[in-house]
Amino acid sequence: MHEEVVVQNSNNKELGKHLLVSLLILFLIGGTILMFGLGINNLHFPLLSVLIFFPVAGAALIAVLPRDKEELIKFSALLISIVEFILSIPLYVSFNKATHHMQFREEYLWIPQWGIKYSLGVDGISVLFILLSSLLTILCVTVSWKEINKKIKEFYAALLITHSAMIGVFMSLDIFLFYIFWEAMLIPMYLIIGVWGGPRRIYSAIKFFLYTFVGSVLMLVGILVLYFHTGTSDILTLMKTSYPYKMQLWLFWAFFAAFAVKVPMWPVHTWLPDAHTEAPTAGSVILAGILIKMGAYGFLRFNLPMFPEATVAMKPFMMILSVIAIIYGALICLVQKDLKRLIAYSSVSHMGFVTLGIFALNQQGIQGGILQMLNHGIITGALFLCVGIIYQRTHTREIAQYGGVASVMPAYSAFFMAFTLASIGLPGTNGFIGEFLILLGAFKSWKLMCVLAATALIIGAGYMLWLYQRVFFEKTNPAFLHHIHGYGDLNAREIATLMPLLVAVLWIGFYPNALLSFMDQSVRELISHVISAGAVK
Amino acid sequence: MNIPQIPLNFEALIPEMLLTGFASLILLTGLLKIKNEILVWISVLFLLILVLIVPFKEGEAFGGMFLNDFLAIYLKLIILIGAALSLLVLNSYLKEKLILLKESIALILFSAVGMMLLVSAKELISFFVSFELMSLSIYVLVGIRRYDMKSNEAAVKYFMLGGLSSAIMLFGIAFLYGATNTTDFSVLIKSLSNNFALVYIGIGLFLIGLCFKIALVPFHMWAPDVYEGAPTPVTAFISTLPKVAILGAFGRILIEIFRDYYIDWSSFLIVLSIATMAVGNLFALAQRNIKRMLAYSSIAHAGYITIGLIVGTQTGLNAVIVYMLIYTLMNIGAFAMVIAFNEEDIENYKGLHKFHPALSLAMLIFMFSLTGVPPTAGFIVKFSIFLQAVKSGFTWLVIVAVLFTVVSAYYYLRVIMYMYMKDPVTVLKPIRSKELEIAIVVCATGVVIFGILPVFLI
Repeated sequence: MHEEVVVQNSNNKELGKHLLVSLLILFLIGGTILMFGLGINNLHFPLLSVLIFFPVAGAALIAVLPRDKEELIKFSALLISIVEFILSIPLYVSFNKATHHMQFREEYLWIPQWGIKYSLGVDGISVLFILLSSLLTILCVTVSWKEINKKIKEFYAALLITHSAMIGVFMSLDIFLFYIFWEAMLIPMYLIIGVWGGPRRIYSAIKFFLYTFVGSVLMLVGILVLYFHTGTSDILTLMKTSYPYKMQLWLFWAFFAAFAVKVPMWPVHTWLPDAHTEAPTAGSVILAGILIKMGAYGFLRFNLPMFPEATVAMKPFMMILSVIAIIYGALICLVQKDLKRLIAYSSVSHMGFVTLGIFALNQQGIQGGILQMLNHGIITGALFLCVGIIYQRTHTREIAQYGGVASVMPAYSAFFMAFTLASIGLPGTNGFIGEFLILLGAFKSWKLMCVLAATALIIGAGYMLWLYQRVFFEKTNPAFLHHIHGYGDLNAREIATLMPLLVAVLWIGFYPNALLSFMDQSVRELISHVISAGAVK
Repeated sequence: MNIPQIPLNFEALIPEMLLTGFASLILLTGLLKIKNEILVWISVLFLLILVLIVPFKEGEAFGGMFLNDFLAIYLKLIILIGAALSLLVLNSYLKEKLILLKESIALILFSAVGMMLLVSAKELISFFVSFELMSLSIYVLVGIRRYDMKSNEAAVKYFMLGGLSSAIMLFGIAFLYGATNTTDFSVLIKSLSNNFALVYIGIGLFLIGLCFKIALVPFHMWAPDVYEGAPTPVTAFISTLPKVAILGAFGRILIEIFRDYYIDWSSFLIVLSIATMAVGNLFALAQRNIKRMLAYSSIAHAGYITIGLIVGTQTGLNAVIVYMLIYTLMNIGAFAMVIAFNEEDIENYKGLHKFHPALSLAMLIFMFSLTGVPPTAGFIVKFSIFLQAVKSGFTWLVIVAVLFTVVSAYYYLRVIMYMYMKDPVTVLKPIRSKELEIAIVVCATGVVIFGILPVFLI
């Protein structure tokens, strides 16, 4: 037995050396690309393609690593995700905020027979999601470090492929390409929930797949109709085309089917609590952080600009659905017994705010909606990470089992408090800015809806603070605390995981312009397009 | 009497003649003691050589009885590749289940000859004869495990119903001949309008005969039993290639000859297509045996494919043919996995991923491709069919089809779920065979590569 330990140690040392060398090489590559990236917007460097395919290549690399070298697999996944993040920084640095035009364009003919192009580009709306996704993927890797014990190789490969598909969705400027990425993402996500999830993972995974699949295939029909009406699959051309009103209505609903399920809007939200609850922490973070944002993004990219008249006509209906989601989600949260389920339902409520903002159809509303999407990704992502951290120690998510956590895990409690307050929307945190802008926008467009939505803020404060009280204060459960004692407070890896998100919460909270300035032009253009086309009718 | 000089033009038929000769030789080798592997590999190589020859044999032969155009050549390539894959799959089965390999090889090759002639047939008699050549070989193949009751039952069932369908089709042909006094398709077109009622009955009976063979609902009853009872490699073969040949021929006949009757046959097919998708998908949900499940799923696929015919245009037909190619790869691949695991009960696929990650990954690819999830080729070909349907104004039919696709997702996903998400109950020992592995790898890479780069496909 002693020998075994020695062998392991020497293996670890060797591993460390290899890792140091590879770290160095990768950082050198990353650094060069970053320097290069400052002027990248004007060069013909296929940055977006690299961003999409680098994680796929990484996943392939992980897949061929030997199965027993677990540390090596984890470190490679971490490195790949870090390099991916570094690669995405040029997007932020050299993005031209003064224009609404698509940037970093790439275009190749892909299926010439159908005139379908491999066409990529980002504007002020999508660039932020790509950054968020890159950041969250790193955190997903670190949080899974101890949580994932089986089929480690497959897990990290699936995680990286999911990331590729998601940013592909945000980059696609061809509707066919968009659909490919949109659907391709289902495969790894289905596996992540179903293989590494909780006890009811299989039911949840299948429900997740089938719900999203129904919506997506209806969108596919919509895409086909669009394609035949215009003869092109280029999104920018499709935006400029005007369609007959009746057709707009049909298409609006076809696309609505896909996006509403993804958001998820009431009443097609039921897959979300199940999927969130059963998924492993990393899966929940991806779901909350990026995946459900794709629905709202779809509204902004397709429904609003392509079917403006239908959008204006459907605005009241959409706002009512949003408000139902907001209030219903918040009320349901009050009666949840499971920590993760509560946060999942609060997602329904928060995403209701997002759609409310978007369909307010004014500058504040839409900007608030986009900001709230990012905020929700950060805050809920962080909350899920927190739940994952404590679940690992106690193996329970039932709120009633908790109590007195604050006394044994002070640092953890502080982080959780910060994210709770952000979720409630305390001024100074990012949650406040988003909700405030949305309510402002909603007030301008339909006062009653604004008032109704605002009541959910109170309920929101109620359920989150009550949750905090029950988990962190109150009577302690000795058997339960014993588990935590064995583990102690947050370790360095966990703090490193949560810290970036806390920084983001405060940074956006105090200086929202850092993000708002990105989307300003794009949103302005979008609004003027919708209003002018919608008013013509 | 002056007999008109008909240019025979044998050159166009060289691949078929070579294949017939080769298949007969294989039968003769039964007298010699040649190792089975060698025989299989020689046949596969021969088929691959034919793949190289076929594209250069364009033209007509026998005074218009036989036509080798682009469509026929494309279909023949699919048939040859599919037959080669089936042979590879077949070989590994021999060691386990003791079937008559040499005869099976010969029968598969003869059947392939029938299919190749079928897609080139330009006349009713040659059409029927090649149709029967194909079918008779298959009847025997289904029952090739002589001492297995299930196999025998399947063969008898198939033969009875197949014979009935042939009879119905022949009856239809007789009506058409009676109405027009010709069996040549090109003459048939011109003289169709003469005798209304007879033509209608003729077309109807003819279509029903064809629908039997591609297992469109309600003419599908034989399919699940036959697919289940037949030896698995034979199932892989008969669930794909005969459909390729018949649907290709079917499409040509409908679109080129019965174009004037488009309204009638398309509405007939719309009903069948919807019924097929419904029955195939819904019944597949309930299956516990993976072969039966794949059988019902292949019925469902026939429903999707029919949409391409309903469109009634040349581009629609092209979409159908491309679909057939990918469908052949997916289905032979999926059946190859069933052979590899040597297990028919889906329950026993639980936890397979633990022991056979590579095979499970291949199965995952096939299942997602059969569902039609990008970036697999299964999506691209479904998309191309739907594209043509929407183009011709069948948007509602596409909506029906995509909703049934969602249903199909459930049972395909169940296989993946069992493999990846459940704990193993039994340890399956896969058959290790190079030929089988090659077949699976070819199918899986084909499905992925055509999915990402469909340029080569369309």
